[in-house]
Amino acid sequence: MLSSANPNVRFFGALTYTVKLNSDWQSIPPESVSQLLLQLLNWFLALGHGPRFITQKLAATLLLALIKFSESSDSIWPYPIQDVVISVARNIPTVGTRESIDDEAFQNMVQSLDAHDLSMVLLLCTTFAEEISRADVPRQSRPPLYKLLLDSTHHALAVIKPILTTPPSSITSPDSFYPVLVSVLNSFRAWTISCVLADANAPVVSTLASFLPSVIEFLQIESDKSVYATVVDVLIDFMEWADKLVTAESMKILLALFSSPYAASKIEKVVATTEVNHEDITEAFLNFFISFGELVAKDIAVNLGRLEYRRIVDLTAELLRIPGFPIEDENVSNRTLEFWDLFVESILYDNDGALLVSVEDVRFSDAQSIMMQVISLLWIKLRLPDSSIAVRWTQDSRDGFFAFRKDVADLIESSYQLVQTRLYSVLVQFVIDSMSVTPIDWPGVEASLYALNAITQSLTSDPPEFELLQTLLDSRLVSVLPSCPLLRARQTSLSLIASAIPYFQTDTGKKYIPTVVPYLFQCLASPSLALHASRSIFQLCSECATALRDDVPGFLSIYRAMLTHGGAIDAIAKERIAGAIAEVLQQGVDDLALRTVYLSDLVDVLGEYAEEAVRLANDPTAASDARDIAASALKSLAMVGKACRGVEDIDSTSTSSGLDHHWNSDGASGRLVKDKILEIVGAISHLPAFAGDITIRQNATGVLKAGLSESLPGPFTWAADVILGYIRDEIVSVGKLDTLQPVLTLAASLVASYSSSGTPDIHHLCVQLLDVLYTGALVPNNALTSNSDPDVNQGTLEILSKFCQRYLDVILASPHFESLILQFGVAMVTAKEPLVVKSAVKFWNDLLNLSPDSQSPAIAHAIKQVIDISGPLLMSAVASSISGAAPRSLVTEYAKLIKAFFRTNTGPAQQWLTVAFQIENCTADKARARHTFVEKIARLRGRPPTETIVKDFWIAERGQTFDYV
Amino acid sequence: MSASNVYYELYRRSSIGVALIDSLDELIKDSKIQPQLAMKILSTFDRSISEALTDKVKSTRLSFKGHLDTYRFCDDVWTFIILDVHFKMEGNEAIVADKIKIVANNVKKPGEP
Repeated sequence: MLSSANPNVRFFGALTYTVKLNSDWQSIPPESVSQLLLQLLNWFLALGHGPRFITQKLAATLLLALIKFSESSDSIWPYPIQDVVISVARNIPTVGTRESIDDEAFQNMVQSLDAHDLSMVLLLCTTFAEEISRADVPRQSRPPLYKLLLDSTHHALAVIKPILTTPPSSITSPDSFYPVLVSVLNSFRAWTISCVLADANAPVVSTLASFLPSVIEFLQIESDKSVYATVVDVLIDFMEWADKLVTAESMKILLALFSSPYAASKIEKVVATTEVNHEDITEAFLNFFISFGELVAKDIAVNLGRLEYRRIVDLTAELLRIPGFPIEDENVSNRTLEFWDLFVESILYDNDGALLVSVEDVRFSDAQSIMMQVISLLWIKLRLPDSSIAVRWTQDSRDGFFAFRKDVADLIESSYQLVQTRLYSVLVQFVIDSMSVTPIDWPGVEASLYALNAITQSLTSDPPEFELLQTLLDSRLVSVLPSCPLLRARQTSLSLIASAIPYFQTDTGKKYIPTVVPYLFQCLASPSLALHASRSIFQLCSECATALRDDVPGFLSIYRAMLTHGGAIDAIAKERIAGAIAEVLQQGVDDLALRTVYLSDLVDVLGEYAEEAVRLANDPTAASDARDIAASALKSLAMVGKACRGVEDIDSTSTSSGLDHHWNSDGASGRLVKDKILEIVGAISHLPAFAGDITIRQNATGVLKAGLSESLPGPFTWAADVILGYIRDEIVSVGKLDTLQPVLTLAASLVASYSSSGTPDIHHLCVQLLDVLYTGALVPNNALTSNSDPDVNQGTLEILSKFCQRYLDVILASPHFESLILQFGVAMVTAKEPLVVKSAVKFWNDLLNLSPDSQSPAIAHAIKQVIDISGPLLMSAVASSISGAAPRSLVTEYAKLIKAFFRTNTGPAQQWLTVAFQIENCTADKARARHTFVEKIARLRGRPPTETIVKDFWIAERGQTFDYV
Repeated sequence: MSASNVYYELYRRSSIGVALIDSLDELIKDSKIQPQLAMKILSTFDRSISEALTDKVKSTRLSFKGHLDTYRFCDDVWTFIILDVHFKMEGNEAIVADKIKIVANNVKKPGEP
C-alpha cells in the first residue's frame, strides 16, 4: 500500500501500520524491533517528497513504534534525533546508533541539510515531542520516554537553535526562510512544553527558555501571516503551559506591546470593520491580545492603577464597539467574555476565593466604572436582530448568538457583586428609555429585561432592587407588552416575572399582582408563551388570591377560550391554569355561594373539555387526541381538587354541618357541583375506549384522592362508598389487571384516611373492599403463580398493611383469611420482585408491631393465633432466604422481619428459626454456625447489630470467604 | 493511591448499584466469575457513574427550603439533616419531604493531588 501511486492508499498504508502496531505490537519478537523501526524510517525517507499528510502519518507511526517498544526495553533507540539527521543527510535509514557523534560533526551535518531535509527532521522532532507527552501514553512508559526526550534535547537544539537565533533583520530570502522558521517554531514549542511536562526543573528547560526573547523578536515579521500566527501560538502556549519560563523582561516587552499606540491602532482597525478574515496579521494580533489579557487578568486586576495595565483593559472594552451581531457578523466580542469574567473574579476574590471587596479601595471603584461601561456595551450586543435579518441566519449563527447572550447573562450575574444596585438602576432606565421612543425600541426593551432577569433570579430577601422593580412596574411596560410584536420580548418578560416572584410575595409587590396576572393570562393565547405564563400565574394566584378575586370571571372566559381554541397549548399549562383559578376561588372568594358559582363555571368548562374527548373517542382517527384531552381534563380536575384543600371555613357563618348541607345535601348548589365532577370522572372512566387505560386511571384516582385528607366537607370530599363504587367498577367491571395499580393505591389511601381517630368508621365498606379485592384482583391474578402481576400483589399488600391500624378484625373475620394471609401474605415474603418482598415484610412488621394492649382481647388473641400459625412458615421462608437464596439487596428486609419477630416473640421465633434451619441435616461446621447465629440473634431481641449479623451470616452461607463489596 | 480507589463507593448504594451487586452475586454464586473480577467491575462502576453524573447529567435548577436540624463535618464529609423540606424544581414541580439527609463528599478525596 505504501508503494501505491495513489496518495490516499499510501496514507491508508501508514494508518494500517499504526492500527496494527497498536493491536499486535507485543507479538513482534525483540530481535525484529530494530528492523521494523528501520523499515518505517526507510518509508519516511522514501515518501518525504510526497504529500505532507502521508509523511506526518508515517512520522507518527514511527514514534508510536518507539513508544510501544520502549515499554519493554528502554534502550532500543538511544539517539533518535541524531539518527534521523544522519538518515536524512545520507538518505540511508539509520536506527540504534549506540554512541553520540561529535558535536561539531553533528552541527556540520545539520548545516548540510537543505530546506526540505530540514523540514523532514523538524517534523520528526515535533512529532516525537508531541507523541511522548500524549495523554494516552501509559504511565509506566513515561519515565524512560521522558528521559529519552531530555537526553535528545541537545540534538534537537542543534537543529532548532541556528534558525531561532537568526535576527529578523538579517533575513534576506524570506520565501525559503519563512516555511523553515514556522517548522522550527512549532518544534521549539512542542519540545519545550514536553520537556516542562517531563521535568520542569531539568537544566535543558532553562536552556530552551533562553530562546524565548528571540521568538518575541520574530513578532517584527508582519509581512507573513503564518510566521506571525505561529510566533503568537508559541508565546500563548508558553504563557499557558510554562509561565515560569516567561521572564519579567519578556513580560515587560509584551506588556509594552499591548499597551502601545501600535496595539491601539490594531484594535481600531478591528473595530472599524466586520471583516472576519483579515488579509494581514490583525487576526493573529487580536488572538494574542485577548489571550494575553486572559493569562494576565489577575495581574491586571492587581495593577489596575498602572497605566499600561489600564490601557489593556480600555482596549479590550473598545473591542466591544465592533459593529454587528455577535457570531453572525463578528467574532470578537464573544471572545472577550472570558477576560471580563476573570477580571471581575480577580477584583472580587483573592487566590483562596475569599471576598476582597472594599468600597474604600480606588481599584474597586475603578473596576466598578469599567464594568458599568462594559455591560452597557454588551447591552447593545444583546439586542435581538430584526426578523428580516434573523430569517437569513443559519442554525449555527442562531445557536451561537443565543449562547453568547447566556454568557453575557452569566457575566452580568457574576459582576453584580461588584457593580451592585447601580447597574439594576441603569437597566431599569434602559427599559424606560427604550419605551419612550416612537415606535418603541422593542429589542432595547428585551435586552434590558434579559439583563435584569440575569440579576433578579439571584436576588434574595428583600434587597433594594425591589424598589427599582417597582419603578419598572409603575411604568407603562405591562400595559404595552401585550401589543409587543417581538415574541421573545414577551418571553423574556415572563422569565423576569417568574424570577421576581419573591418580590410579588412582599407587601409592596402584592399590590402589583393584579396588574401582572391579567397580562400573564393574555399570554396564554400564544402556545409558545403559555407554559411560561402558566407557571407564574399559578404561583402568583396562590400568593395573592384576594387581590385577584374580582378577575375570576375574566380568567374563566380566557380559560374557556384556551381549552376551546388552544389545541397547540401544552397540557401542563392548561392544568396549571385550572389549579390557579381554583386557588383564587378557594383563598380569595369568601362568599361560599359565590365561590360555588365560580367553581361550577370552572367545572362546566372542564366538563365541555371532557365532552370533546368523548366526542373524539368515537372517531378512530382521533383516538390519541381524545385520550390526551380526557387525561388532561381529569388532571385539571385533580389540580382544582388540590387547590380546594384546606377548607378552613372562610364564610364564618358556615359551620361544619352547614358545609355538610351545602356540599352533600340533595339539590344543594355545592352538591350539584360535586355531582358534575363525578359525572366527568364517570363519563371518561366508563368510556370503552379508555377502559383500563393507566393514565386515565391515574388521573381519575387523583380527582377522588384530592379530598381524602380533608376534615371538613368540601367539593372534593367524597363519601367513602362513592370511592368504593369507583374501585369496584374498575376492579370488577373493567378488569385489566396490569393497569390496576392506581386503583389499588386509591383503595389504600381510602382505608388510611378513615383510620385516624375522629374519622367515621367504615368497617362495612372495608368488608366489601376486601371481598372485591380478593375476588376481583387477587384470584384472577393467580398471585401464587410466577406469572402473576407484581403491581397487583404489591398494591394488595399495601392495602392489607393499611387494614392493620383500624380494620384488622375485618381481615381476621374474612372468609378469605387463610388465602389472603396464610398463603398470599406468607408466599410474598419470598416473591421474585424486590418491591413485593418489601411490601410483604412491611405488612408483617405492621402486624407484629401492633401493641396487644391497644386491641380488644378478642383481636389480640386472633393476632396471636395468626402469628403462631404464620411464624413457622415465615421463619422457614426467612431461613432459606438468608441462607443465600435471597439477593443481597433484600437481606436488610429479612433482617427487619427477624428483628420484629425476635423483639415481640423471642422464644417461639428462636424455636421456629432453629427448626427452619434443619440443623440436624447440616455438616458439623454449618450446624455450629447456624446454631451460633440463632443464639446471637435471640440474645439481641431485635436490637442492633442484628442487621449486621444477618448480613454476615448471608455472606458466610453464600460460601464467600470475604465480602467483595 | 491505586486507580481503583480514586473514586467514591457511595453510588453502590443507589438503585442501579444495588442491582449490579445483586447480579454480580448471582454470577459468583453460579461460579461464572470470581469475586476478584466483581471487585474490578465495581471499581469500574464507581468510576463510570461518577463520570456519567459529572458529564452527562443535564443540570437542573432546584431549590429547597427547610429547617436545618443537624449538621456535621467529619473526615471531609458534610452531613445535613433537614426537616420539613419543600423542593421546588423547574416547571413548578414541588415535592415535600418530612426529613432528608444530605451527604456531601469532596470532589477530590483526601490526599489526592
